[in-house]
Amino acid sequence: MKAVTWAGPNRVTCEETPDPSIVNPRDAILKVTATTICGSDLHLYDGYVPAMQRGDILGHEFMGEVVEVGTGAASSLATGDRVVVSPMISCGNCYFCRHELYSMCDNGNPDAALPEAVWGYSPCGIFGYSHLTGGYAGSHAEYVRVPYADTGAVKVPEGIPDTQALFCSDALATGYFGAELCDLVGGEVVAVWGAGAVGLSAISSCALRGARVVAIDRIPERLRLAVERAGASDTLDFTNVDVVEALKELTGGRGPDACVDAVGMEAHAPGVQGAYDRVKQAVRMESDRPYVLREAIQACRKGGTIAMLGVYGGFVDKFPIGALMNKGLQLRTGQVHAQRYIRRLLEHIERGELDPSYYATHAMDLADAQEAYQTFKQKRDDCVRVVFQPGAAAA
Amino acid sequence: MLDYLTGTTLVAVSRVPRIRGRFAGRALLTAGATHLVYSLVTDYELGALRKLPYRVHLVLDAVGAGALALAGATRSDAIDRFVPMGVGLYELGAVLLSDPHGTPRAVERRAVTVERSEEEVRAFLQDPASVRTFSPEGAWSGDFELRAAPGGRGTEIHASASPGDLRRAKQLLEAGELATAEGGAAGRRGVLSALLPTLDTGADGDS
Repeated sequence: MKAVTWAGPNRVTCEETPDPSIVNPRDAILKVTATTICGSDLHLYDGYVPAMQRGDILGHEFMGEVVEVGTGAASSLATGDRVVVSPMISCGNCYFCRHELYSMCDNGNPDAALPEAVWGYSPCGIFGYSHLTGGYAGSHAEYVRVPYADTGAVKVPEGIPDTQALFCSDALATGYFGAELCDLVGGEVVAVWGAGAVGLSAISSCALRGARVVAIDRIPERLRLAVERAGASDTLDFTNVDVVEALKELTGGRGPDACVDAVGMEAHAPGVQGAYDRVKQAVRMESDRPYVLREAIQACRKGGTIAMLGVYGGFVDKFPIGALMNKGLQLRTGQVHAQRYIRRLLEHIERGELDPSYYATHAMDLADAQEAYQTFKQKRDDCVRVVFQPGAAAA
Repeated sequence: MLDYLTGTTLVAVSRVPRIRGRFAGRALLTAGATHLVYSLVTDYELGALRKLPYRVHLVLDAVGAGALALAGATRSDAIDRFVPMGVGLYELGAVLLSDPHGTPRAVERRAVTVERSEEEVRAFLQDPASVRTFSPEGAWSGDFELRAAPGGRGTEIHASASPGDLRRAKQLLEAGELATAEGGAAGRRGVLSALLPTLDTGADGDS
């Protein structure tokens, strides 16, 4: 089959690989009908996640058609089912899965020793997301093996097109998770850093819960989408304004009730602070650029909540622990527990309350993967998301 | 590690031509050999017999370093005087900077909690077929203790076992199968993948 593999920092290739196969009873094999490059894939592409090997198949946000099912998953899935799949590989049986904390699954990561050494405990496995999270083959391929398919693959109702269902896998689920972390009851002001697909999802999910949302980015087209499609009330271009001061003014001096970091380890920042983090990350003196996190902690109102959706991997410098403590902030984090949300999101889509289809700005072939990654990374041609449709092309 | 390095270095320096055969050489040889011997019997991570408490080891270090420095001070020849004195004072400084508790020893007893009843877990851990699956290298000693986890969280397994064996036992008990990335495809690997997987940046001869 054709698959997109990591070939070193800033290099991917489309190559012929063996087809995947069923190994365990709860496995399924999917023909991938739609898969997208996520912002967190760029951390792998850019070479900031250390446990990558040449030949690793990328991709974790996907959907497809079931072409083979193991005996242990046959009671919930059948050949021909159209399913959207959680990026998180979770057993569904451990303490964490039973409490719907799927991304913390104890049993999904076969390479748990490595993250245990770095982080103390291991999160779940993740498709195509380095050997820190299991070394599983990803979805930027014609076929993919789905472990614990009875837990991770959710059937898509008729009438929901791929362009809507696909993003329930990760981007929409992560944004929705962020809104949930903010504990909104209606009437709050939420500031969302990053208006990519995850940020737009967080904006629409917070707006759905009755919050007034301020979108922060530097790309005019993304700020336009934040208002016109996701439902943001206000926008801030962080290259033109002092974000902390602007948020203070927008909120009557109180500061946002909740702040969502939908950017993560490769935040762009103007000025000296941005250059400082870039240099330190480039020479590996810190693994992540925590600019957004610093700004969110500074901007957030006293007693407010910071929801960290953007991915961080290691250690950061100049973390404002004093502001966090003295303002009594809650810092809430995690990879999305997608299995908890996918069905709920499909219902929101069916009712017309959420529509993520506009994220899919670019359709490209696996064979053009290098160009696709560059287009997405550099946000060329107002790219929000590139979608590969290998199953559809092969049909 | 540092102790072995120090002992070996002292012995090696005692064989240097301008030092060998004179008082300084004999003093360094005695100090280095003694250091190596009591390091071998010290109760720490690289000790072979682990009989000598670490604090006694530090006292011997201090006494030996002091004796070396004092012995040097009794000599009039420059090499015989200043080489033992320098080495002794250096060693004394190293002792003063050492943590008297030493490096904590790695635990040999480990625990894992599984969402299963005590009866199920006991039966599983005593079943030879299960043991062959979760401990494929045969390292499972069979020495384990079960305790009820608080809050209805299942059963704690406390055992003298490798982390891998306990992880696999938990996977089998809870998920019914071993997590594996096998069966998923991969592209062409780099030469470094097998040796230094996390450092394989793909820069090794891509064509």
